[in-house]
Amino acid sequence: MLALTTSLLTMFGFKNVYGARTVDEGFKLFVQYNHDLVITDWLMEPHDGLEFIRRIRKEEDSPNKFVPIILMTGYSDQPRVENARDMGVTEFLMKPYSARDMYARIVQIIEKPRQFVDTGEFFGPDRRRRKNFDFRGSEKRGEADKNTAKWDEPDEDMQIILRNITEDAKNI
Amino acid sequence: MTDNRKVPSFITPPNTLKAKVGEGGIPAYILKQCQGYLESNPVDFTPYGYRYLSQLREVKLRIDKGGVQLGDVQGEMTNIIMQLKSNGSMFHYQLISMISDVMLRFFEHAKTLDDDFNEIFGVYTNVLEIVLNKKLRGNGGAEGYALTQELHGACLRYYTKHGIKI
Repeated sequence: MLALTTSLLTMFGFKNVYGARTVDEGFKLFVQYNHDLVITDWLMEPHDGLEFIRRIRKEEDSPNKFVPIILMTGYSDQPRVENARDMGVTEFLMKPYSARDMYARIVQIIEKPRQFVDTGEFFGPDRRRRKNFDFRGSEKRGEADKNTAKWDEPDEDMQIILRNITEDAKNI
Repeated sequence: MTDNRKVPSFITPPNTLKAKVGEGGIPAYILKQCQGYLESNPVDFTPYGYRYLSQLREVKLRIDKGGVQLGDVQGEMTNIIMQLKSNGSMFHYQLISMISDVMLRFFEHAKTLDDDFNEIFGVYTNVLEIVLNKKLRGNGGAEGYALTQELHGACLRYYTKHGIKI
């Protein structure tokens, strides 16, 4: 995933793209090179992406506490999103992502940068951007694609296996 | 920056990225190339898939031994399933992402580790194993879609039976 993302950024035209496998390694690189943009996965070990964001936003030796941070995550339930937002994330990128998804987040950061707020308890991009989590209309991201999604045609054996498991699920 | 000031201060940081990239986006053909790169990446997801499946089964073994509540393993299982959901589609296994998405929502709402839970979880791990063993790339076609819907249906029946409002 790391290689895929760094390659994609290079293809977009970014220069000096650095990849790190851990928070410690990433923060060390950030202190050394003071990057213009940070993209981090949420799930990392032993520390996660939120810890990386915390260190960038709050640690004394962070070279740029205002750097835009994109957090990649596979799950966007509301409490998690709010938790990340409160840590100072700038944009979310849901995985699996397309090239257009990644590009859109970067454009958002460049063309519509957000003010920072420092309340003492919170420091990060202004959180007052409303999103309606209950919205189920056709404009919701990804919904439109579902109607035009292409379905594969697995071989006959596989079709039978999947049908059998479907029957199992029906009986639960 | 962490003192307990009551009055919020607003700061407009310098837009260094804008200063570097200037005006205009990247051409459409480059975006298309990038998407092509994502879709054709040669990474074999199956070793990772098996590792996650094995982690799920380890957790399940702990559950079966008893003395474990759902809350004790919910976070751990959610993280594993999130990896499967996130990475399945990125590496050509869309059906894994589809069923993992259903399971993530199930784990979000599930309350008890009962027989119904075990059956739903069993179907999920069964599908994972078959998809990985058979290297079934893609979304599984109409059958994959029907299976995802039926797994979701089983989850809905679980919610109804346990009085869980979603």
